[in-house]
Amino acid sequence: MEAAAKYNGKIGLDALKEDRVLDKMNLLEAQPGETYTIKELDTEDEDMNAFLFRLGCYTGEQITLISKKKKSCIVVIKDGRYTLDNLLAEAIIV
Amino acid sequence: MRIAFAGNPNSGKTTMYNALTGRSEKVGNWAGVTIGKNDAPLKSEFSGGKDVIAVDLPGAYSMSPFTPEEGITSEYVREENPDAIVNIVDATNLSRSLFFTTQLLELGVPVVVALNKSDINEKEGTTIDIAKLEEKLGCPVIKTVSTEKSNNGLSEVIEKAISLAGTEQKAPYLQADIDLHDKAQVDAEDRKRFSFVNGIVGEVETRKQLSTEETTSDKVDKVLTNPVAGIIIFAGVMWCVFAISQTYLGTWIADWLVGWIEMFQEWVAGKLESAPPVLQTILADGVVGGVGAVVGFLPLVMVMYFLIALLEDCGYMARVSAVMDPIFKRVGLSGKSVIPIIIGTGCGIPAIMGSRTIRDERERRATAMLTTFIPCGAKIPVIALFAGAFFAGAGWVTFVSYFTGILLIFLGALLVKAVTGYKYRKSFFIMELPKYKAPSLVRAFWSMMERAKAYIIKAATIILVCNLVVQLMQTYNWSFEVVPEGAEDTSILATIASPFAVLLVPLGFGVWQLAAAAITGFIAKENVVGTLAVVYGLTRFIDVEELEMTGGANTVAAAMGLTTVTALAYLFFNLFTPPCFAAIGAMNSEMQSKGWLWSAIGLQLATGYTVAFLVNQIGTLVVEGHLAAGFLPGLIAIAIMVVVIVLISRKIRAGFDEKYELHRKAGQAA
Repeated sequence: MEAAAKYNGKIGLDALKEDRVLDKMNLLEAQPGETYTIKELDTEDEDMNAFLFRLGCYTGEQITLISKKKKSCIVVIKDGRYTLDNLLAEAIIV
Repeated sequence: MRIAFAGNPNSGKTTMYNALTGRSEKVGNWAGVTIGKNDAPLKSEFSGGKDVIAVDLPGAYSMSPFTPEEGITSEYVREENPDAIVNIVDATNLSRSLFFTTQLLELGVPVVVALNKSDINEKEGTTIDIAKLEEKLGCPVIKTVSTEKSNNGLSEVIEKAISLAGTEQKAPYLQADIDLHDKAQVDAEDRKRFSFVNGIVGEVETRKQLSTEETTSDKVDKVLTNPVAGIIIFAGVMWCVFAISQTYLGTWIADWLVGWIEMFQEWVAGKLESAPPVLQTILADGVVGGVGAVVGFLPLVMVMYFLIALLEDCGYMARVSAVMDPIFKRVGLSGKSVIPIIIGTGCGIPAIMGSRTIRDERERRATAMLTTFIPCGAKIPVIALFAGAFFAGAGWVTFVSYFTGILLIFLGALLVKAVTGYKYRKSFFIMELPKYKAPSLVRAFWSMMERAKAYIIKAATIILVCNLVVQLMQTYNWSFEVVPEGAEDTSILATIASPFAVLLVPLGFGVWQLAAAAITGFIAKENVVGTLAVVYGLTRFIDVEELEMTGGANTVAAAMGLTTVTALAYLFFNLFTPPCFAAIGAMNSEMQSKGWLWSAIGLQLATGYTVAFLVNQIGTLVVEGHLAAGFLPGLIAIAIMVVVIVLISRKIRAGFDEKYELHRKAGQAA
């Protein structure tokens, strides 16, 4: 209900953004404090993808956004906290 | 018998290794402290009289390496057939750690799981069903707390590992027979492995506090990794480290120590009264004086090490990396370059080796090349001496030295970026933020004592020998006669150092004594102080207390014949020319490229020369209203350096364009 009310009150870009929440977005567009399921992950760097995988960061797994900064963010993957730069955050689609 | 210690980064392997072997390998609260293999026999209380070697390995997330140091671990456990593996598992992050555990269990080597950091789990209310985990993994699981002195589970782990050596364990999860070159198959297989692990964790672990909840530590992180506040706090923290060690506490202790050294020197001189004068000079001035001059500064270095150890232990380093990453990225380095730089304030060698955790080769080499611009512990005596003798012990000299060091790292990084024709390539940054913990004062104390020991040993060996040689070369001329008074310029030392001194005229210190000190500095930077003490006659020199009291116009300053401007130029020359030979050796092994090594040495020489030239010429212009001697030759020398750099850059870039073109064509053809 609350989400719907929010949605109705917004127009233009904001509404579009809200709309994307229901669909797909990258981690940069996500809400701090929320847990998401990773839908896609491609850094265009195979080794990097493999590395993230071993940390438990892969499609179907959960990722929690703790906080966002201008150029980085802090996430929880499995039970570990990591800081990521925006380049990586953009490659994680939730 | 060899027992390997393997596990995820920052799970506490080295802490456990140190406890078991009595060694004091570097530990710290961030991922990637251990960057090489260490081995040592177990203490007899653990080995039960058997001949058991413990092998500490760098942390790894899996058997497939991502950074160079991870490769050391997978290669060792795969190729070297240890008799048993102790797999240290961070009990607070079971769901990630067990992935590697299941891979280790496949190797056919008996594994004992040490469930480390169990104390944190207790605090957070997380329980792990040990019996069930043992059953699921098919190997012994023992709770450990390596940071505790007793009741820490360590002897049980070792007992189990020794008793299992040579036996066989059944792997709970065996990788299917797949084509390892087929990415899709490997991917699917790894997913299966992870879901197997997830299954186990779900059954054995109960958490009271979910790891996704916001904690106090998250609130602290918000401030410390804030782009503005975080950087100001970092600058403040480092300012405190330098001020406490080099202006306040460290200097007070040093004053007290210097008194003792002087007394000792007088005592030695008294004992030698009846000895021949040459022997008197060599022993009292050369050996005791030169070494004493260096040891006198030891407290500054010790306090500094103590403080840095506290920083390393509390978990702050990872946060600094995070907050500095955007800035370092802009100049072509990585946030991970920050850690080597901080370590470099202590010693350049571990700093250079620490660059190994940087994945990108260019970033790694550039970090190894530039990190020694930050003044290391061996340069502290040099800074302190000049600050004391020429600037009345002013604290700003210290800060300007470190600040210039950081500035040079940035400028150097930009230069490397420009020269290597660095085209835009994605450079990702990810770093684990470890849990904060109260830094251990005991550990910081031992880290400090360890350093003090190394420093004293160095002073009593390399520096003593160098001083002795310098003293002899200064005392004798080429016909091996004692140099008569008034003819000091005919000594062996003077004639060797004089040609170098000519090159230094544009920098404001073209005398052989100073050239000789700068040259011995390449062997060890403390030598600069030791050699100056020897060549200018010790008695005028070691009186640090007086030297600090009287300030600029004191005897030391007068003896060296330097103005404040040329003194600063000389100080900077010594700080920013190539580090000692040992550090150059470390650069060589880390860079794995002769081209990079020689470029690094060349860049450092050019930097030291240019900085000293600018300080001298601009300083003299400001203070005296005219340029200093040798402006034109100096300018020509620097112009030559610029031309060389441009030529190297052209050569590299030409190759780069060719490669680029090939890639493009290949792309088109496909």
